[in-house]
Amino acid sequence: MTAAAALARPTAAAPPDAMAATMATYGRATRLELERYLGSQTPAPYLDELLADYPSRGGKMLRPAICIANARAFGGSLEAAVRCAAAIEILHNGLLIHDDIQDGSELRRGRPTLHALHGTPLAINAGDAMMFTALRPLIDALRPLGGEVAAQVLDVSLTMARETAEGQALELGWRDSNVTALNEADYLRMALKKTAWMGMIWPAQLGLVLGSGGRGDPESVVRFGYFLGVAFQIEDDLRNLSVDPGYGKEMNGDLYEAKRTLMLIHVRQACADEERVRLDAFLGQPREERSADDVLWLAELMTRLGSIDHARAVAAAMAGAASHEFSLAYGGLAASEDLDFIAGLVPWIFARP
Amino acid sequence: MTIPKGKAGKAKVHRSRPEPERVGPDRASRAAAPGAAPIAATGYPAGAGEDPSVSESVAHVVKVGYDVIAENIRQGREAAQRFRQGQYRVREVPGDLEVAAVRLLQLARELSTTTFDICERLLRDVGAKVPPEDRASGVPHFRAAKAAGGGPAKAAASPAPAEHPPMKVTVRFRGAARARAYNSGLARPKNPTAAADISAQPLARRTAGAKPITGVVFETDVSVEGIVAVVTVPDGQEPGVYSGLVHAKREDVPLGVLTIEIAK
Repeated sequence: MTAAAALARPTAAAPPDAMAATMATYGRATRLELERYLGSQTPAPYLDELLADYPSRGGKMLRPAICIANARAFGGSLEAAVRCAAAIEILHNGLLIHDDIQDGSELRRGRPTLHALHGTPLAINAGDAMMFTALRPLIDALRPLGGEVAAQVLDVSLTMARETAEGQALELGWRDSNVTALNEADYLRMALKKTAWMGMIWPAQLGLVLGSGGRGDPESVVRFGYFLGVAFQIEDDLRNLSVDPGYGKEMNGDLYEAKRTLMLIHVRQACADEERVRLDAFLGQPREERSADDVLWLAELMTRLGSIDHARAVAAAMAGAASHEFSLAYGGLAASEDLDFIAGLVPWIFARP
Repeated sequence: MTIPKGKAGKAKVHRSRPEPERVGPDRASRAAAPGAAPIAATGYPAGAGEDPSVSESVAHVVKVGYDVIAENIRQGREAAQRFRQGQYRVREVPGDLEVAAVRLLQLARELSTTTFDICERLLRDVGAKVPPEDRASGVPHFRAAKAAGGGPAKAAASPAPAEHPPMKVTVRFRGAARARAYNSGLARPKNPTAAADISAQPLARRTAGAKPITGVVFETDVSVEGIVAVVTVPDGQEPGVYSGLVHAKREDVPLGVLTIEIAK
């Protein structure tokens, strides 16, 4: 496509099959790098097998795809971005290991969590190793780009690390201290930090910095990534309550964990006083003491009081805001399949398998 | 407000705001939310926005969403400003890159119980590599300080600009002979340079009659600041003071003179 034709063609959100194809292409390229960086000719006992476990379970490769698509949309190449994408995926999997321990989760992508298989100490160690291993492809990706680009990447990465840790701390702190008086702003702040920054904003920023050779402004994609991430998180929370979560997590696992979701915040505000007493008692129990009957009661209460529908409506509205912010952040770029892919992320949140 | 189902709905989401005098969400009406919303052909959930009261509450959440991100960005800008006014200035690489890398490692240590020294070494090397020509052409050179008036800096300035202190050097000896070093520092390379790209000419004795010492290599060691010069002293090396120029790859101006003494 010529430059003039690209400028003339409007950006259109890619349809689901095109989204899947792009994600598969970028996912394959990223997996090759993952194998290279996580593979070992002399596997270390109790470690290398664990490092390879989660990546082998076939995640969506959403984050690497966001990074690569942004890099290409801003003028870079797949080859230049794919190591960065691998770094993102390795770090993500390392954080998942620790998340599963912190949440006491039993399943991840349809199989027992790493700590359930190997014990918590070895799983923590594997998570540590993955987070540090992620630095290797990141540095390899940056080495040919010069110190200016490297400094920008470290800058946005430090911000992401801090925001993610703050978000995780908020969620764990609310649960462990049984904080119940939360509102939508609290939830959105937590979702921004815990989900959006690592999942959407950072990959887009890395792609932007790499693709533009350090000339783009990483802050320009923050709002798009934020609204996209919040919509994604709410949809994720909604799916956890569905009959079949379909993505390898426990059904109603979030309720067992008393996770502070938008639905939980809503239902606590909308319920009657006597219901709130029972709800607070439920939230104050240790996870293992929460009964299936109480979980079912809470799920039904959320349905009856419109908490599910409210969350679904908010997710859609956040997706609309993401589309709006997309046009502001990416409006000046020439049309391309990668730009269509990025635009297509918004409806994909709800259409994803 | 309508739930957006495409581009036409985007701006409406942002512009729909609750009444100015309202300070909190209207949660009383939420129990009247519509039924389960199937996924529409557009990919967005359909039906959730049909009840005006629900739409209002959702619009409020969107406004709150914008408030949250605006506050977060404001805080981020303030933090960035503090960093850049203080020790962290992005354009002063690789020195500041090292600072950023150290901060990253500190943060990583806080998040984890295991550290790998190799990461520290890799991070140090990030700022110590010369970018290749294809991508470097569009990126400002390191320390390409502009002269007063905005003109380009004079080429081939001193290898150790005043604002950059000398590079610390630790000299280590291999071999049986007793030896000591006179150096504790060298000038910094003009361009970022890996330790392996620094070399010394054979260390020669001023008075004739002794073979020059050729076994000098430079490397990094995370346990010490600066670089390490490893000097291999052959068996039977004549006592005396030996010295040789030290160069960075692709730089003509030497970084200094490495001087050692072999004891009798």
